[in-house]
Amino acid sequence: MTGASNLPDITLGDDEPPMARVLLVICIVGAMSLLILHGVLFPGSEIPALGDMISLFGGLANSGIWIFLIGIMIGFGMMVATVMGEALED
Amino acid sequence: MLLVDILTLWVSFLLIWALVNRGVPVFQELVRDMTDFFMEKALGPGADLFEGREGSGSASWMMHGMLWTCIGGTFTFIGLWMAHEPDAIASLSSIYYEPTTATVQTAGLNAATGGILMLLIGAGLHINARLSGVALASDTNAVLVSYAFSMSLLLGFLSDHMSGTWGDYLCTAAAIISVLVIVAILANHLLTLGRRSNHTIMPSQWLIVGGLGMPLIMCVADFVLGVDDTLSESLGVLPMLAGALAVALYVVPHEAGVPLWSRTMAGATVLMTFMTLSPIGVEGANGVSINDAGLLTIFYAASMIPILAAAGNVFQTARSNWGQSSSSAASSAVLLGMFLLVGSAIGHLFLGADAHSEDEIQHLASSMETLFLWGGMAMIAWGGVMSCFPQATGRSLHSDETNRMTTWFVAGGATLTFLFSMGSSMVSSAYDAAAVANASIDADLIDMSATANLDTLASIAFYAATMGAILMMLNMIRGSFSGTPLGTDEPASPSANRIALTPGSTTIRQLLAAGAGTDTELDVICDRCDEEE
Repeated sequence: MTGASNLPDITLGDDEPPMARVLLVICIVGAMSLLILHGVLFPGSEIPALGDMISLFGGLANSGIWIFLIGIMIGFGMMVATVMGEALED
Repeated sequence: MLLVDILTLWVSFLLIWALVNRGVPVFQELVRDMTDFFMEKALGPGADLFEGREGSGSASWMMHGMLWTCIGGTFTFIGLWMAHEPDAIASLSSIYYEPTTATVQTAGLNAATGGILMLLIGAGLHINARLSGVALASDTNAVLVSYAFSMSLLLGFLSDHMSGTWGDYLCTAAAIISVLVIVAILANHLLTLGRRSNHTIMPSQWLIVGGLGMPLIMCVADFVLGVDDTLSESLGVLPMLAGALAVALYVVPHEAGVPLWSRTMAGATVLMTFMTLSPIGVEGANGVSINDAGLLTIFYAASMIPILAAAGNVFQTARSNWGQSSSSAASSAVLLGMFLLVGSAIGHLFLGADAHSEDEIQHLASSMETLFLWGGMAMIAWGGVMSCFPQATGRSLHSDETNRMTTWFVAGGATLTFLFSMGSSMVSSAYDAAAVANASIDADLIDMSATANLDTLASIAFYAATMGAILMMLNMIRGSFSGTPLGTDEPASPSANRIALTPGSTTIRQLLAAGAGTDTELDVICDRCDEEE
């Protein structure tokens, strides 16, 4: 046969995905499994907000949005820290 | 009369075309020198604050733009969340910050619009200078006015949070500053064009100059002649839309390393962008007659032509060298943006036509706005930043991987937000219609948990876009400080020093596949050639 490939049916390469990407996938799968587990163990109840888990924020962060806003605040903090760090390094 | 106003629009485009091509008769030198003077020397100590290094103007606009995009993204996320949980940030009332949902949504939309416009203007400054073959006329002025535009966005952001007279004062101040800044940027573009060493003015340059100039000329026409509100509404989106098309027509050929596919389609994009009326962002002016509504619908439909022509052109250009084009994060972002822009433009076509007639599908307007702004404009602006920012600063961005990741974050986040929020709007609209049709249904008793769930999913999906903007900002900061200087990179792949060939025909593709590079020596080995000679 003229169109037949010289390669075997299955070949294995040596490349591996970066560890950061593996951890990201594990974190996403972990978060989804915890979310589902919460639904199974506590059906009908809302996902706990930050204030329900950390008593320090009990009176302040009583909405689920704060979990996301903390990520955004860390992001803006990293921006300031990066600018200061790079400027001082120069 | 609407038809006369449309003729005014066409005349203003012809005026721009004539002035850019021919200059101002008799006063040409005087106007050029005076503009040059006002751009730098007349600013006095203000101009001495900035160094004016080549590319600094473009980089400054893009830096400020990405910062405002991050702020706009954050407030858009909070606004989306407050749509289903109005008391989400009620705890901030302890520091006297207790805005309504509408306030947060308006502030977020305006900040994001301003930020993305800044990204496009920054990329446009770089593109015009590169295509003109000279440096920007005044980088000092461009840097200075980037701070002024940022200030106008800040004033606008504050005015969105304030009601009463002070809110109006701040809004007016923001509008005046932003108009003055656009005039300065337009003057900078025109001076750069006037000094160009490349004779031909490329489509991207026409789009940049027309996009900034046409709304200004029509503002003057409005003061002098009085222009129909429906036409003014359509011109609001022009600077952003024309800027995005300009960036798309530059970035894809530049990244793919091939010429723009079709000259005719590029010409059609330029001409029809300024000769038609865009339905994007139209909310419906008062007192539109049925005849005017019909005429507007035709022009709205015609406004699809430049978008489809630009999309077809860049996709075909990318196809010409798909390997290089698809491996470039900038080109991928622009292609994604063009795809989503076509989708949102079709949606806006129906929304715009409906706004002047039945007013039946206006509940989809905010979802469509999200798709246009974050799916179309932001993605094209992302491509512009990834392609132009490294050239403007002279340093590559910190991480190519982050470029690609943020592209998918923003594109995926915007698309999912659009789908979820559109689903929620349609369901709640159907509930409302059912309640109106059947008087026995108590609207307060309808279970709206389905729409609440969709709204929650929409806000969580948009969080990806917000985080994408923040990560891109970090990438830009690190790149501008400590990115690899351009021109010092290692070659992408080692090429062979010497390749031996036997007589016969071969193709460049086969040579490249065999590891040939630009410095590879080709040696044709022929045993019988000497005997034949």
